[in-house]
Amino acid sequence: MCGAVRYAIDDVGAVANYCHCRSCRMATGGPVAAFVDLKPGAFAWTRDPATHYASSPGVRRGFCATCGTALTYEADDTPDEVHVMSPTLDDSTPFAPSGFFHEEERLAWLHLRLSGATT
Amino acid sequence: MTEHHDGGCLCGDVRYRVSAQPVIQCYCCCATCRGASGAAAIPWIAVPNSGYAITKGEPVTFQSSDTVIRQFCGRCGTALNYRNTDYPDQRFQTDTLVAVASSSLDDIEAFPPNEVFHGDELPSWIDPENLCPGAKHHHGQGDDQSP
Repeated sequence: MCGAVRYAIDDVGAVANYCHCRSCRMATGGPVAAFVDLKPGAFAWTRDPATHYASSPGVRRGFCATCGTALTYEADDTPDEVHVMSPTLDDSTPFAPSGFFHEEERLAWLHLRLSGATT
Repeated sequence: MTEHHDGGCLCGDVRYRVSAQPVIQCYCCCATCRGASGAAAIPWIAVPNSGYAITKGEPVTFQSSDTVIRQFCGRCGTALNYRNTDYPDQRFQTDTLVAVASSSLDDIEAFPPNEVFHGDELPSWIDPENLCPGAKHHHGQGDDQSP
């Protein structure tokens, strides 16, 4: 949010999803996290890089140390993926999530459904 | 109230206790909350200042606008609280209320949101009515009479 950390993505073929897991909720402050799945080569820090925190063994979450914005998720067991918190994109319009991860951890009071879904 | 609710950040460096009943249970979908969190909307509970205390650690403070102070954990980034000295909705005045990011409560299910602020600033792929059916919506700052 403060602008200290910036990034650029190549969104060709990118897929967007939500994640309900507790770590994603806490890391972002949201009731659910929304992110874009990218190949590592399709993502680059363009100003200061993020600060990283290992929220689980083999997991690195990037955030801005100045203002706290949650930015990325990377895991050793999926080395060919970088997940970018899509609400931090200057324009997240093209990235409507298409699915939910960890549905079993969904908050009881979160009624959110996919865009365009009728149930 | 004698009941209290504890919470803290993802890494555990910062812990807090809420010992007052929330005055407001809401989502805020404004661009600043989105920017501060990385989430499309933040669920907040607003409680009297006297009913909120940091019990472990020292959060980082960031001034996100002229009258707004936000705190988060410097080690893991978890959003923790929000104070505003000049929010037009008088309930948010800093001398009375502090907003606590309820996603960081140990019992996150305790206080379901029933109001939505700035739903018009959500990403295009989230419908405010879909996010929180039946909620009271506030579309402008201080517009606390909106249906």
